[in-house]
Amino acid sequence: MTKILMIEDDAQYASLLTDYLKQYNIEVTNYEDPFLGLSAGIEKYDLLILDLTLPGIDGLEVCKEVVSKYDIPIIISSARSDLSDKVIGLQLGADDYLPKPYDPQEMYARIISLLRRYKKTSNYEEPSYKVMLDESKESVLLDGVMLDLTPAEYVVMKLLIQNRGATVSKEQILYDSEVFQFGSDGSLAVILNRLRKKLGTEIELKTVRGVGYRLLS
Amino acid sequence: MSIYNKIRIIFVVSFLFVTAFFASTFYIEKSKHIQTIEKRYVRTALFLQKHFRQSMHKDEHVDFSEDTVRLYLKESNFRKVNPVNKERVLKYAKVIKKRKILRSKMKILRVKDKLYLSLNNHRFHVLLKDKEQHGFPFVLLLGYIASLVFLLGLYVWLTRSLKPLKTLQSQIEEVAQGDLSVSFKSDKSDEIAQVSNAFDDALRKLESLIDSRQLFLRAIMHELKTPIGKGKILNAFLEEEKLKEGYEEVFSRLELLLNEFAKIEQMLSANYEVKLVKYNAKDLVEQALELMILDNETLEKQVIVQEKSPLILSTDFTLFPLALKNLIDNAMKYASNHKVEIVIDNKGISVLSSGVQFTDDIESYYQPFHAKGKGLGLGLYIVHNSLEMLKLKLDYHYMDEKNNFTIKV
Repeated sequence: MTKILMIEDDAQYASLLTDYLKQYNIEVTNYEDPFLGLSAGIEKYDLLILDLTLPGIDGLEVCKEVVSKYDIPIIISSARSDLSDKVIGLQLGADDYLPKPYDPQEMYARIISLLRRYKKTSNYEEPSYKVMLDESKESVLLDGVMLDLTPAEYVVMKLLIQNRGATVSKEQILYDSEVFQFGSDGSLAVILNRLRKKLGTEIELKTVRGVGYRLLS
Repeated sequence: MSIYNKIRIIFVVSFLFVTAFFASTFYIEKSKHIQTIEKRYVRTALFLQKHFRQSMHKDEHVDFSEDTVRLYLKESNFRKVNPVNKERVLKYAKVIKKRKILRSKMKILRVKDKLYLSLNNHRFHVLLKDKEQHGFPFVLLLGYIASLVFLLGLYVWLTRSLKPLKTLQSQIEEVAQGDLSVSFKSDKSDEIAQVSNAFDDALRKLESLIDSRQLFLRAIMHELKTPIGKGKILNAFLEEEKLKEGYEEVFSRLELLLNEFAKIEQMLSANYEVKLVKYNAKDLVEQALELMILDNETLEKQVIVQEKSPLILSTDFTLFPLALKNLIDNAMKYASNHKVEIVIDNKGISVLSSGVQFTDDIESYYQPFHAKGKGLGLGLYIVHNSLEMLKLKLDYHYMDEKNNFTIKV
């Protein structure tokens, strides 16, 4: 079982997320008081979910403290919308920043992705997916069969697969690739519709309205 | 005209006045000096004339080397020029003054800084060298230089005292760009320092007001976003797909609204940093339509997008769709049939809607809380501000009973 330490002053929020993650065999221990959280034996946990608006001490200070003493992946999750918080948090050593309100499925995807990178959990096994990326051949495989994709479609799929379960913003897709900056074979929405057809009904490419897209399967 | 230019003009005029004053003083002094010299020269000439006449009466040869003459010339500070030098002096001399003394001609001559007295008639020609010094009036020149130095010093002192004004100006420009951390504090006591200190006080108050506003907004955002977050987690437990989708739609719209408020707040408080990247205009239009709080069915019925020619533009992916979304929203609100046409061509993106023409000057609608609208009167203000930040122009015209707004690229 994956053990997560959470420092979140909203008990109801923490309780809901704890219940949600339980179904994925993830055990969450929450501390509303950040000072108690800091002295809870952080080394016992696989990951830390940290809120920023906390009583008595700012979440960024807690992050700094944890980073200086422990080797544990940190996801900052906050309702504070300041861009500086995200930048400072990541500069301080946090591994990810997920602004509230988020889809709990995205939180789970990010936890899995981080744990994979840290290879912390002994019982964690790399799951096999229907859609996989083969970067060496610059191709996408659906059930092991190579899909016939245009360069723009490949770029979108690559980003979605690399961030499986998490929302990839349109800005990130359009910004990251020169394919879009110099004119692609259609708008992003058109490309997504074509991809949906090519992937079939079993694979869900979810549109997160006004934000971006998420690969769910 | 700037204060600096006014000061420069004052000092140029002062310089001209001082120069004119000293030039006229020099001229007057010179005239006075020549008059004094002339009197002495006339006296000497009369004496020589008298000596000549006496010699004539006695039928004697005129000799200006006699003791009486020599003594007189010595006392009058003159010395007779010998014939060799006489030729040379007469060749290079410049006549300063000439007049008749009885039947003789008297001339005052100058060679370099030496003066000579030339007296001649049909019987004699005598040339005397003036032994007195008639140099340049250095005292006057010194006075002139001292006045110029004083004026120059005054100019430097004055412009230096005004220098803080320039610093103040550049600092105010920095504040206008959104940097409120600039300090205007001055330890001097002149009027500029007083203005600087007063401005610094006002700025610190403004800064604390902005800080408290940001804290307030942050608290509001926190309070509003947390329940949406809880709702989203709760929604994940729902099993009925239709219900789940419905709630999800509600939460995403609430989130969109909150994010839009946050972006507008950032933009209006000059805290937004523009990131320019090349985008396909169609992507920008699609993003703007997604930001609208309308379901897809309504959008399909009410919005027609026409791409006459592909357009790639360098812009900000957050700010541009925000402006376009407000423009479409506004057009839809005021259109007689609630339909909007979006046209993309190589000149820009146009938003057309049927309806009556704007009654007031279009510029007045770019002001916040324009009173004549159906809403808060912020739509075109947001559009105008966003486009201004992106250095893009909004063009408006009315044709075929349609209001046409074009974001020109």
